[in-house]
Amino acid sequence: MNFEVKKLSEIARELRLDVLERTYKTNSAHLGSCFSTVEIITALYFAHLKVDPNKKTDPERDRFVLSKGHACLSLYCALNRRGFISQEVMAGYGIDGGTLEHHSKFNLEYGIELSTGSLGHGLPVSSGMAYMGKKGPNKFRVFTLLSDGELNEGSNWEAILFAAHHKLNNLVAIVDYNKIQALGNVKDVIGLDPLAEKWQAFGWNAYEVDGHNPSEIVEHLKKAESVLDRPTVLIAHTIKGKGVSFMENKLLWHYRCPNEKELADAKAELRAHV
Amino acid sequence: MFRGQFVSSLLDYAKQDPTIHIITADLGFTLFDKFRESCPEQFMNIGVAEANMVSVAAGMSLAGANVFVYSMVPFVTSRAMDQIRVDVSGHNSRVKIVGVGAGVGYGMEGLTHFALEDIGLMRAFPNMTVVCPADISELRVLLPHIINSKTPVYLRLVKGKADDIYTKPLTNISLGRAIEVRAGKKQAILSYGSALKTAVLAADILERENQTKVGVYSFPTLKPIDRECIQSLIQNYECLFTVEEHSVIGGLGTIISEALLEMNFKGTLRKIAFPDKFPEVMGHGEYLCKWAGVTSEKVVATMREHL
Repeated sequence: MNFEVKKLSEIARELRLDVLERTYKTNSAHLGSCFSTVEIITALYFAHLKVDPNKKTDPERDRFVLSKGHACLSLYCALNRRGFISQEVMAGYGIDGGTLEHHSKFNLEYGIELSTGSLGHGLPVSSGMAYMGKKGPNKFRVFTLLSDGELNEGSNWEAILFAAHHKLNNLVAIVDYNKIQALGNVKDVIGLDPLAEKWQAFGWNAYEVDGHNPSEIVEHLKKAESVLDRPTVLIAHTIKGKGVSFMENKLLWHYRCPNEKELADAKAELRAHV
Repeated sequence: MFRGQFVSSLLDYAKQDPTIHIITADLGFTLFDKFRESCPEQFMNIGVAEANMVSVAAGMSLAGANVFVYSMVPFVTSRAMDQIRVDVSGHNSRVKIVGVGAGVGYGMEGLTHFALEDIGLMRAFPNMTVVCPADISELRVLLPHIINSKTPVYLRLVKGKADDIYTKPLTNISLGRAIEVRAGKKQAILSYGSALKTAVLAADILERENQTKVGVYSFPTLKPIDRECIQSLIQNYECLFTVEEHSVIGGLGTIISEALLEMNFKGTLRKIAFPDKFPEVMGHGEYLCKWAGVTSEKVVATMREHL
């Protein structure tokens, strides 16, 4: 394991602990969904995105859109560690009169590019941003993280056609393919396979990656930069609830908040892994 | 053609301002030819995908563009409602939603093409300005304000051509202002868009019959409504009549009655509008307006009851 990989994995572990702690404190949901996104968000915010907390409205900044808005706690914790969101603002998560809701809300001061939570919006809006980022006066790249269940929404497929037609090579979609959606297994609800081939058939460049390997994600995000005639999708194979054995691949943890014992067990397990 | 005038006026501004973009969802045959030729970078046919069109426009506006999206009313409003709610209204995006075919302008095309609930739907969204001009003069004076608006606007256009209402050029009209088409006594008709002509015709008939002048007021901006004008109307008139090519739910009648209740109006309000049902007959716009009772004859008859 090289230094960078070790560093990113370490950040991911810390983010997971942050998410766990904050979920417990505020009795909130979507822990499983957050855990499946942690390495993806780590790779983006700690190794790839050109964003700067001192230049929050820079018209040439990279844009990241969390289309699966319910996994916002991963994003908040990353933005916190990257200097966009202060400890004080973090303390207002999920409380009356607070600062951060259970779905991310547009706020450039916090580094949040779009209000999400209604699924199937992130990719179309990102496509509009990317259209301007390619054809407008300010050049930038756009990254969108979608859930697998979210791909049931037809609006995504309108955007997938659009982005390919306009050769938006500055757009990268990442699918958090944890294979579990709100009421069951993706394959039992509305199957998506073969998923990469679907995007390819729509004219996208597609990579399948291990969504819990930050360096592999970074490597493919870099590779996508050299693809000039089409947008890129990363099908990130992930595990819902990744990192805590009793949460992994369990639908229950889409909703459940850990009790005191579960919190202690989860922390111990996360701390034990290196 | 009304929409032709809209597009050519918009083009005049677009030539000077590269941030102005227009997107169509594959509608408007030949309508955009000149725009496309003059400003190809500012025009896009996004295909038959209205939900995507609205979201893409919101994304473009978040990156600095001033975007107009265009289709027939139901496709660009109710078809893309969640996108309008979240991406446009929820982000206060600089997106202007342009719908053609106010009311039953697309009469013979059937219910999928009617625009009878759109004002009720669109006015409910925070940040949204709702505009429905009656003729070219109103459109011309309001368009620069619509273009310059940094917040969302819904612009509802009449299909086909709209008869000129005004004999003198309009001045000092901005968004949120009603227009006194003519002053009168006791009775006033309040209208907008395609129904304003009906209101003027009704006023003409009553004037000839009774030798008394009837007030006619145009409300091209339905949101924000001109409360100052309504306030002066209740001081000067006893009976108010709203006339519109829209459902009786959610349109000008609803808007005026909400305002009047708050202002303790002691007079009479009657709403002439489409009933709360899809037309039970088929026909061209004029025929359907007759079915609904949105005609000058019906307005006159209703007003006679309150003489």
